[in-house]
Amino acid sequence: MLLSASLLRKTLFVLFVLALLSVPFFIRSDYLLTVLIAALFGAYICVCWNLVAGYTGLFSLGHQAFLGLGAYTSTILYVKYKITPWMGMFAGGMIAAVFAASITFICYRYRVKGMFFAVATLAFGFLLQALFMTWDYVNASTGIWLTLQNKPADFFFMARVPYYWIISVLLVISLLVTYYLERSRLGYYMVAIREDEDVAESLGVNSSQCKVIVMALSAFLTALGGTFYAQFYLYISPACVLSIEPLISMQVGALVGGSGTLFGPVIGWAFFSFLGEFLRGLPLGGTAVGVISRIIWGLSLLIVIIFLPTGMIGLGRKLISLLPFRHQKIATQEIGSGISPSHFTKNEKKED
Amino acid sequence: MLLLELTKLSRSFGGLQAVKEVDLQINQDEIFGLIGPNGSGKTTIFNLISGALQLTGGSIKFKEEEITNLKPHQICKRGIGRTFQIARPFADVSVYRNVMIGALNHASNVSEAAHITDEVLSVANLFNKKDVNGKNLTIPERRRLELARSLATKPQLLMLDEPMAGLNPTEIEEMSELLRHIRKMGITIFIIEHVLQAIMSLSDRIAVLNYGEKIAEGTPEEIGANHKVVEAYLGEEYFIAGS
Repeated sequence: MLLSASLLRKTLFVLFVLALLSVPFFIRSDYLLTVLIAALFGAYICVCWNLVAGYTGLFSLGHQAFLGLGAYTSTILYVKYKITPWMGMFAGGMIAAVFAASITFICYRYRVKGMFFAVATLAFGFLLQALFMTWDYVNASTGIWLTLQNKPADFFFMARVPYYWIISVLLVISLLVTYYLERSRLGYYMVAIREDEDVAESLGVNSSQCKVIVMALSAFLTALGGTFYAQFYLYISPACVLSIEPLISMQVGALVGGSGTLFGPVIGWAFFSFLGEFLRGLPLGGTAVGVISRIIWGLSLLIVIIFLPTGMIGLGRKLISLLPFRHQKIATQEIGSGISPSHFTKNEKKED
Repeated sequence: MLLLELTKLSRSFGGLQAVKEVDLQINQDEIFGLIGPNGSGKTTIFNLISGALQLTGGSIKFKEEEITNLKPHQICKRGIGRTFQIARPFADVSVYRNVMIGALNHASNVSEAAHITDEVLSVANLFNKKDVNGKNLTIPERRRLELARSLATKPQLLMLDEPMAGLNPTEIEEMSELLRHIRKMGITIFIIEHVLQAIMSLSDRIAVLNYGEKIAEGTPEEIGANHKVVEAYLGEEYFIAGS
């Protein structure tokens, strides 16, 4: 075989990074850059969610809370205490990580697993949203506005390009973390926990420790995304960053693209961003676009859950293995065969 | 040398006493068999030793250290491996990665674990299946994977829960050979099995459970001749054939 699976992945990775970094040299339109930034942001949170749900089988439905914690922490620190969001970003990440670790540990302690873990995290998300809706210190449901200004030291830029670089770097970091984890002890353990926690434990895997670490890591990364969101859109409120919207984006992106795979979430989210922009270009009117894209989201989730549990990546691998000059090897060497259909129909049904 | 010592091991589920004050001693390099009718508490004993269940009474010592009520992963780290009655391979993961996960228990890094994995895969005769996903294996392959995975954790004591269930006579013979080979590697085996012919020829000593109580213990010959055991488990036929 000329091209091994791991070499292929490395090549793809490098090509992807090169393509990503070369974009601002070709694209000058603010509109296109804005669309791309939003798409990369979506892909980034999909990758973060994929770490817990796709690889570890922890079906977190509370990840929007970590996004919100990140956004609120850095914004409050900036607005009230004049601490630059560059620092606030990491403070937010730490806070989100502490919350994530605590929830995961409490769930482990009281043997809350599988679907019940999903519901527990969902409850946490709602709880936090309700709290922020009524908490005057954070401007309750009104939310917080930031003023557009030219202050790179405080994470404000007049141009789009710097934002593009920042979110690209975040996305590449999250992919590198995933890539490195796949090959590490923790990565092996994460997959073992997803497949069968009791067996994993009997093979020496400290599942509570692994789950806590992965959740904290994923929450930390998600919260960094939250700060980016606040600095880019300049407005946060419980109805946007703490709502279920970003969570649904994470899920459709990761599941449709291929959960438990490196590039699945990116490919999945690229598909949905493209679709959204395409629909917006049609003469349909604002409400119709929202409705139609929702319908397509729901349908594609259903199709993937029923027919294609390994997502677009799985489909791609199947097609590649059918090519005459390749052996089947590429399909089997990867670990990312995603969450099994039973796993996520069990957990996902209520989302549709 | 004494490896595993169970003292007055007890476990009850509500009003049901599944294991009643069982005393057992397993020596190094032994193959120790555990037999008994369905529901007599054999698997419960395995679950108690491996930490999957908590004891309600008694204690467990491994290499003269108290290991009572430790967590399963701690027990594994101490050197006790186990397999499950129904083979539970990681379904969506290749055979290679299945075994790697076990191998990481003992290895200090991933490349050392890869080395252990290669070794174990060839011992268990699964090397040519290493890229196949767990769910696509046949029953005997699953049994061997189950064994390989816990063998990769480098245990001193390997507890096998019916490793021959669902195998045909040729496969049973192969599995027996494999177990003898594992014993030669210096690993003590504690085995639950219903395939009597195999366990009688493999084991150095056998204990018999009935209703959670140990009713007999001894060499296979002594067990085959024991009236209590014949009554509770083996049946008249075995007695006549044996005598």
